[in-house]
Amino acid sequence: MDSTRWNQIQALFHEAADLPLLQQRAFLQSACRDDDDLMADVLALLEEDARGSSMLDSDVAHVAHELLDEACLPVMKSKEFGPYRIVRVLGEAGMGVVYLAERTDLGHHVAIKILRDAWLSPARRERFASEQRMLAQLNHPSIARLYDADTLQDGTPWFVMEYVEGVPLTEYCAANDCSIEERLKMFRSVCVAVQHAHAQAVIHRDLKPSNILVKSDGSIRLLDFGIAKQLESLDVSMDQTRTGLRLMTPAYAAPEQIRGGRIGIQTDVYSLGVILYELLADHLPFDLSNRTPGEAETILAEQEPEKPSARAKRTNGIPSPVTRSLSASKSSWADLDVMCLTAMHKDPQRRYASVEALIRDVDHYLKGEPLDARPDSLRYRVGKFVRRNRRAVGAAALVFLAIFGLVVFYTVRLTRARNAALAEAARTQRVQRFMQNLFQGGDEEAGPADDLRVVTLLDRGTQQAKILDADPAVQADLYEEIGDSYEQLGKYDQADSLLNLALEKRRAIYGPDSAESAESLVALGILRKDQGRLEDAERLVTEGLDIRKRHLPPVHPALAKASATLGRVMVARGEYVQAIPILEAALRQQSAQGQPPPTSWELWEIWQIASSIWATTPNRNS
Amino acid sequence: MASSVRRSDPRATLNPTALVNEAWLKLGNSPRIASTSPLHFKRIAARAMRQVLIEAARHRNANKRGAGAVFVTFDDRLDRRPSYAKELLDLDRALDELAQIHPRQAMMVESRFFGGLDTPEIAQLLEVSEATILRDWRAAKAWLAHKLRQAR
Repeated sequence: MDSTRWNQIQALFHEAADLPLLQQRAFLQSACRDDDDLMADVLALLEEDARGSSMLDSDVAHVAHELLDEACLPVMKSKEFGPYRIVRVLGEAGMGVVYLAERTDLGHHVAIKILRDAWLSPARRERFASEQRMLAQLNHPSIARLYDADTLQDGTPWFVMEYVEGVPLTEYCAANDCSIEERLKMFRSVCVAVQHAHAQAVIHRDLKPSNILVKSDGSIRLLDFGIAKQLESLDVSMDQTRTGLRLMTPAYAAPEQIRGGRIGIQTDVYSLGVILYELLADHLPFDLSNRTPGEAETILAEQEPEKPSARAKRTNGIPSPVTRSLSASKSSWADLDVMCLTAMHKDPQRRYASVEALIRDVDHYLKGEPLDARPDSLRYRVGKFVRRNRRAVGAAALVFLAIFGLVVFYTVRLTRARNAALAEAARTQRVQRFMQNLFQGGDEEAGPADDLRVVTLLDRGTQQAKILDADPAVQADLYEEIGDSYEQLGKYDQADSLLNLALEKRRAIYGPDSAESAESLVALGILRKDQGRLEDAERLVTEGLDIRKRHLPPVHPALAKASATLGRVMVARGEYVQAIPILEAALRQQSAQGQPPPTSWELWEIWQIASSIWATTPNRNS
Repeated sequence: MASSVRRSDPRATLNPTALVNEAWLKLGNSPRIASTSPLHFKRIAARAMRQVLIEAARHRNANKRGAGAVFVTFDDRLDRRPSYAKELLDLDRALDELAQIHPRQAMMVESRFFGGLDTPEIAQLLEVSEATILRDWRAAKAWLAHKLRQAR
């Protein structure tokens, strides 16, 4: 079959597959015409599609399992390996099968491990050989001993080791209801065995209770160096680490094994920590049942374990025999927590530096001495929290800063507003008191007299204003107003002194170039005009107008007032030519602001007078 | 419990199989693995897994025909059921044939079946739409199933 044909078959298959079963054949008959082969091919595909039970529909893991199971557990025809006779299968471990065998001449039992499917790859045989080498290196009463090794005719390697009749550590402790001291003593001997391996530069990498058997005499044996690793070995390529990682039992695996990080003696320290946890709390630190491998990895790498003391007390509410045997004082539990969690620290650098250090602390505990290990400081934990939640902490800090900034901003603003309001209220109060004094003449009982004259009021006001030194701004305003009033009453001398005082005060308070000073200048200018001192009047009003022009927008009532005043002064001086544009400007300003007609009419009249006088002047060019 | 090694640890969720082990060992021999993208790595892993499985199947098949005289089996399990080994070898041949007429589909089947890549991953790897992958899978699977049935 070629590609074209296959594409043709596929196209028809897809088209027909979506049709109801009964229409498929009719459709194909019309589509294939006389090509019977084509039709047969498509029909075969449709049939398989409907059946959906081929090997491809199952999981490859299932297929692999079945395949490897098919010829599982091979054995010698004679069932004899040298002087050993196979009794039965003990189990499978990784790449090997372990048999119970009997030495024919001596009669004692041994365990024989053979490499299954040795033909698969040299790497496989190398790994098996390395386990054998490491076992041969380790000579310790608590480590299952290597006795013998050989290779079968077909190249399958096998070795003989001590047969350990015992039960896993945790099962033993539970069955015998061991006390904390007994558990720690057994744990200690496990540590001693692991420490021996470390001294030979061998890292076990798969420490777990099922690899630690307790014999009937209470002695322990460390087993299964199947994925152990020789430190500084020539073969430090990545696959070794990864293989170890993948074959590791996750419940006891250190975070760096999960992540594929650097493996060292601290890796075994971590696993020992988990074993200690299980011995103390009767539970694993993390519940990994019903978890996918990915979830388990995340939990192990990130989640902090509950303290073993807390976990031990929380045994589903039912006090088990284990918790009864696991009684210890509060301070002892605190030490046990620290010991366990130090060994199990996520950061290898913060674990016990060696198994020896762990053993020392176990001894400290058993002798009732203080531990070398210290719990994580608050500073370390906070730092770690921040590192772990960098983004969240950053965001929280930002939000906090924003809120803090806003609070400060509004507090300052509110304080300012409040101060201004307070000052304003105080000023109002002072003016109120001033007005009261003005009308009552200092005699509160008598009240205002019936024949009160304006001039009397103004005189009193002047006196009152002079004692208002506390608030010079208010004082200046009063001088200005009273001065205006005297001026309108024709009392120019009093007006003169008050308006001058107002100008002085305002210049002192607001500066010479201020709106307030300009107002005083204009007011004084009007007085000078009325006094007939026209040159002074022009100078003062011009000065006031200039200040106004610098600070105010082109259209403004104060500007209009100043312009109108200057216009009148100019008219009074007979300077009609100059007066006319000034008056026109004043009129424009007033009309632009919609000022009340009387003011405008008055100006209008003045302007008309100025214009007519100018028009009739014979010497208009002068 | 009186064995030095237990058959399986009930608490283990990553159940180690000799197969995965083998695939990893094989991958370790490829020097450029470290520099590949995760997706490409999965693709290579699928290829490795196929090789290991086919190799194992070939060996099993040879044993069954009596070539490996050294081994006999404890029980008669081998003869009780249709052989996965033979079916896998047939699948291998059929996949090779498919690669001749439609290389993309063969690669897809290999990635999906042997490597466990999901549809979006394969679509990204082969640079086609997910709908195309699903169509291809349906047709290719039916064709391969037909081939396997014929070879029985």
